[in-house]
Amino acid sequence: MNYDIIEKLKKEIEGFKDDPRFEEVGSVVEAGDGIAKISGLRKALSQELLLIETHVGEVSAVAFNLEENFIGTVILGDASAVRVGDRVKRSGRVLSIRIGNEVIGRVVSPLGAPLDAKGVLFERIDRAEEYMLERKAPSVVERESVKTPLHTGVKSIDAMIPIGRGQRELIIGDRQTGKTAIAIDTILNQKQEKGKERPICIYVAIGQKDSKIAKIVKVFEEAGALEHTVVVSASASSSASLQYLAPYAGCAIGEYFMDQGRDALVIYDDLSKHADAYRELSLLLRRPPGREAYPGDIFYLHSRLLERAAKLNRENGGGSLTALPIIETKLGDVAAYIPTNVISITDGQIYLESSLFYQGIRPAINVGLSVSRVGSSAQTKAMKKVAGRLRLELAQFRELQAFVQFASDLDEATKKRIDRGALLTEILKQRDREPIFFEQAVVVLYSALNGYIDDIPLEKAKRFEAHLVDYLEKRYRAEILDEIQKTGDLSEHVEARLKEVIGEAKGIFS
Amino acid sequence: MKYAPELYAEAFTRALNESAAHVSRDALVARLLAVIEKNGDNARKGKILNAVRRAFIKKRGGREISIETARDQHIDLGRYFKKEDEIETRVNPDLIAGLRITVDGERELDTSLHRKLSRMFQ
Repeated sequence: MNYDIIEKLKKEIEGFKDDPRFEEVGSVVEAGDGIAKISGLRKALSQELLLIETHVGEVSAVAFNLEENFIGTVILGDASAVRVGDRVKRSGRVLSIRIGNEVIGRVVSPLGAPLDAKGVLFERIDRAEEYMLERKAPSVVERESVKTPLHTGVKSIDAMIPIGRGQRELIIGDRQTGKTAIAIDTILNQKQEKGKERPICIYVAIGQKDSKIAKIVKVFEEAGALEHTVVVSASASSSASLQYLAPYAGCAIGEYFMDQGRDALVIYDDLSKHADAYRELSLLLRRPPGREAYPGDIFYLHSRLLERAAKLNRENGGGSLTALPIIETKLGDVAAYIPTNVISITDGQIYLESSLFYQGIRPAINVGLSVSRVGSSAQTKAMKKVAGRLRLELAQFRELQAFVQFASDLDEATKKRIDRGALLTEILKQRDREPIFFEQAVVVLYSALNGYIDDIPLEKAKRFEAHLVDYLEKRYRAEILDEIQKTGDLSEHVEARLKEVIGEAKGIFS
Repeated sequence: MKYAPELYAEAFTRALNESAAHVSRDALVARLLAVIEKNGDNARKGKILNAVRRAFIKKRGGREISIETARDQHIDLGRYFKKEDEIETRVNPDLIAGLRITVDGERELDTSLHRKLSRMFQ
């Protein structure tokens, strides 16, 4: 055994060829707070990976600022090891991450290192591909319009704010309003997606607590969703540089699958913390601060990231990358700098409101302020047919609800509208981590919107919903639910049968 | 106001050129030190003087050569360099064996065993 190792080593040493030649070199002149100023290396490129030779080994850094006499770099490794005077060399590479199918089901750092103690990522390194973290978004000719739905399993979203594969839909709201919960539900729901190819999900945690990330990974594991999910983690304890790189790494992973003609979904949780990390780096690099001390290119930071979400045309493989960025607002202020930037970049937003959350309306989606600009063309016919009136009914309900606070007498029609609105609000409530099949959502919304359950007391509405779904699953899965799921439509025949079945279910409901 | 050492060096060499006729070199050096102190840049005096030294070498058409060897030994490399070059030699045991030549702090030729070993185990 020892002999084999020695022989192997001997051959390696004998066969080692070294060709020393003049190389560019620089030296660290200033270091601190994860930033290093380097003199020399005049030919270094922007975003190039530089290698700092420290007393504990090589530490990598990225060239951020190319100034007349210095290069401002962001240290990616152990910043405490970098000292003034350390030699720096160019790597000739820009930042990239190794990606392959083995990355699915793993928790990785933004630089592609495994963080889940499940061993090495790639058994054979040649099976992995290098993907640049910063990459140009697909051009107009490579894209096609969004037309395939991406079901979230959340009734109110799938019905009123539909998301298509390749879309960028912002989830925005104050802290503790259920933003991450929607993202998690969307990932969980992809497991139960039938008929279409299941998207690979990438959850990018930026500046989150380690405990929260561990909890989310556990949820994925327990629900079996980790089989189609990759978690990119740059927790609150990570350096600002890693938090800054995390969404780009997540996006690169998504692009890998998109380039293979597959569908991918990437969730950036959240871009407010990403903007903060970038602000920190920019200020340390002494870039001029602008509004709210963010640097001047803060818009470009997010636009170049989100522009990489796309639905590719058939000639380019037909893959897609859907992006669900999350933004945390302060006291519901959607007009702040970062929220308005990201709202203008994305194709719509799901706005979550604290007041709705505390009223018990969960998910706390403000239907009036939420919108999907391209998703309706990706919505299935069945859902479109059923939920077409839902937004209007809820809007009328909200208006009337405000009005009846002052009115004592109500006519029958108004009372009916208010009752229907209250019933719809109740039906749209949904618990966390319980995404439902889209065909189930179709039948539930059909029964509520067409007045078939108007006579059910409000407090029993949720129970009846569960009863109806259970009844259909057990007795009419093939005849009704599978039919809706396969065709994506609610045919006249199925609709007629559904009416009868709702009557049957009501008959035996107590 | 903090100025980059290179700016001090540039200003000093220009002043030296332009006022060589009526101000002595020593007086100019004394004034440079006074300006450094006035600007609160005393902590960076070493860097500034280094930059001035570099500017002088550059001005006379030379290069700043640093030769590091693993052991204290005399190596005659003079024939490889110009007479305008400023050669500095020092012992760096970290190299283990061989030598490392750095030109103007920006280009280097590393033939040390340390480099070979680190390349071998990369």
